[in-house]
Amino acid sequence: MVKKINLTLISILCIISYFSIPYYRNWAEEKFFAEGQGIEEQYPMLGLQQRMTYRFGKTYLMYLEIARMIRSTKDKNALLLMPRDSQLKEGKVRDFLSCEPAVFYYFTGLKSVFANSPAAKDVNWVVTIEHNQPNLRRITTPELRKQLLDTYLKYK
Amino acid sequence: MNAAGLLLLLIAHYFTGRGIIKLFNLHIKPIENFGLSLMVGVAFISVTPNLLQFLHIPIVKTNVIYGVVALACACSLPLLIKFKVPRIGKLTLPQLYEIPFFLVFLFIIVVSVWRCFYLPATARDMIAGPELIAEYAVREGTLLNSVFSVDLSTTNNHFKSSYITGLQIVYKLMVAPFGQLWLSVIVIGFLIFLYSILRSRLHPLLACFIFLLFLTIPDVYAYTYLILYDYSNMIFFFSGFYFLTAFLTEDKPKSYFLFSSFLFGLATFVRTDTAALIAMLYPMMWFQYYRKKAPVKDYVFSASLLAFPFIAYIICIHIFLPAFVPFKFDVSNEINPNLGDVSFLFQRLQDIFTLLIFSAHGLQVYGYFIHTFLFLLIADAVVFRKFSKQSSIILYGIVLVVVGLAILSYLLPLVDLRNTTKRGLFKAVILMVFYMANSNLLQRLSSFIYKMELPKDENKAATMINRNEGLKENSKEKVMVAAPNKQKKK
Repeated sequence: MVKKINLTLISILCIISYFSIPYYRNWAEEKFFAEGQGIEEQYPMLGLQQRMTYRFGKTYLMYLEIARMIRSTKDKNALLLMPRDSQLKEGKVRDFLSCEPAVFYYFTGLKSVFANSPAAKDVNWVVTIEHNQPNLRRITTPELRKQLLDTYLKYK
Repeated sequence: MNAAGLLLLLIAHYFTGRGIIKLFNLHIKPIENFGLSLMVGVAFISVTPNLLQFLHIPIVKTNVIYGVVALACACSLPLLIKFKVPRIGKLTLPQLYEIPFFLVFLFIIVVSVWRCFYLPATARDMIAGPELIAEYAVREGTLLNSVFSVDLSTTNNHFKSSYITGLQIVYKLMVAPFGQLWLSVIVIGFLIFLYSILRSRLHPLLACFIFLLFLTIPDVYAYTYLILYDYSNMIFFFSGFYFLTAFLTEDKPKSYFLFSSFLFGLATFVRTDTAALIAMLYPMMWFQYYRKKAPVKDYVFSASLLAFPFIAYIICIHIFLPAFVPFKFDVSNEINPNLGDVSFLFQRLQDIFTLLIFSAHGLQVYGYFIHTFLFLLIADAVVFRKFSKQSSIILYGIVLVVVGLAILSYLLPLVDLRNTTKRGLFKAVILMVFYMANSNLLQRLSSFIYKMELPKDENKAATMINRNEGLKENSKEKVMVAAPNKQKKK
């Protein structure tokens, strides 16, 4: 029994030594004990939207707002022209990231395209950049659509 | 969360896997059987939505439940053959010195399970592919849903294996809206299996330490709660490799070889490119046969290693893909058009070491695990100057994964370094764990600790030794590890 107790003390020492190594100590602190990561902090927020927002941040909320605004117009053929990240960066937009059509559909149930998509000729909504903020605009004329596509095509 | 749904699924996974494993007539420990049953059961249940789709049955909760139950019952039929009431043998409790480690493992795994439940699917490859299709299949009741009316030209993830799509559908309908908990089931099943292997080869104290080293590899741990293909691919590849090694080195029956092929088949079902790595095992196998002066029929039989991977490939690419994705998938579009330029292959091999493993980025991904493995390998080479047959085979496997990934990158440019290759190396990492369990140095250390621990009474010592079932047979090294007291008499 004494030998088993000695081995138990050795195992405790091993564990303490292992997590005293700076790399693993930092990893454990970031992974398990960082603010907002604990089960006790997350347990009160079990709503699906809360968890989605926790994971995907402000951009996700903005996608939902875009979808809400489009749906409020009851447009059943909405197709959104999404800017590229390079365009958002140039426009100094913060807290909003572009996403590909599949991901936007996953979050909102609405269809979107980039300017180089074959379906882009049918876009009737667009996310523009005004005063360093993303804005949703409806495309009302073919000339406006062409102008927007020509501009958005410059960004990759 | 629907706890009843989760319980039903756990039972279904267990009996499905148990029934499939029974077909191979393996003699493995009950605890290993339990872990493997969960793993195999999860993989099999993943095809439930596909089967419903084939039968034109709407994918709704009730139908999925019936499908899961029907599949579990069908796969459990082998358990009824020569049915005996199971005897619950003497329970082996953990040793006192394992308990501190177990508490740490429990904490780490509980956090993983919680995050698997709490967080939604995050990886872009998922929400632009399998998770997207699963989410709309649940909403619309069919795999052929409105997702395919969206512009999918920026992604190819809808062409990936239906393994995750199927599991997400089942778990979203039966357990929780984010699904995902199947990953925790398969992780726990695998960790049980892995720990049992480690414990059968090493003293529990060393087994625990190696297990801790593995569990705290940063990216490997992260993928225990972030759904992607690579963790599942890793565990099936490793399990197949484990049984192949047992067949080649421990004179196990051919059923072990076939089970190895079966597990490799599951690995291929998860990621079809795994078949290429499995094919690269042949030189090693044939060399083992050559050393044993095996008859020609053994060489012929070895062709069956690719049988299940081939079947899995056909199911994925030529049955499921045309049936469930209404776009043509042309593999030739993915292949490198400039195959004549082999310099890319060597560059990628170099990059794996310089930009991935031995770099600041590699440290973030793998921690010090690979460094620890290399230290042990060099120590074994310097001190003992030779490797056991098992160790040699495992080292071949590690090299195969590294070189194989470089070859795959060369053939398929989409296999990039910082994502696909990084995660593909998980297969090499788990083989490194297996090497550590067979390391000469660690086995000597294990023997030393047993001597320290064991009472002087030889009868009691023999009982303790019998618990170390991993290496009972004929090599000198095995005799030394398995019978430390007998070594003194020598």
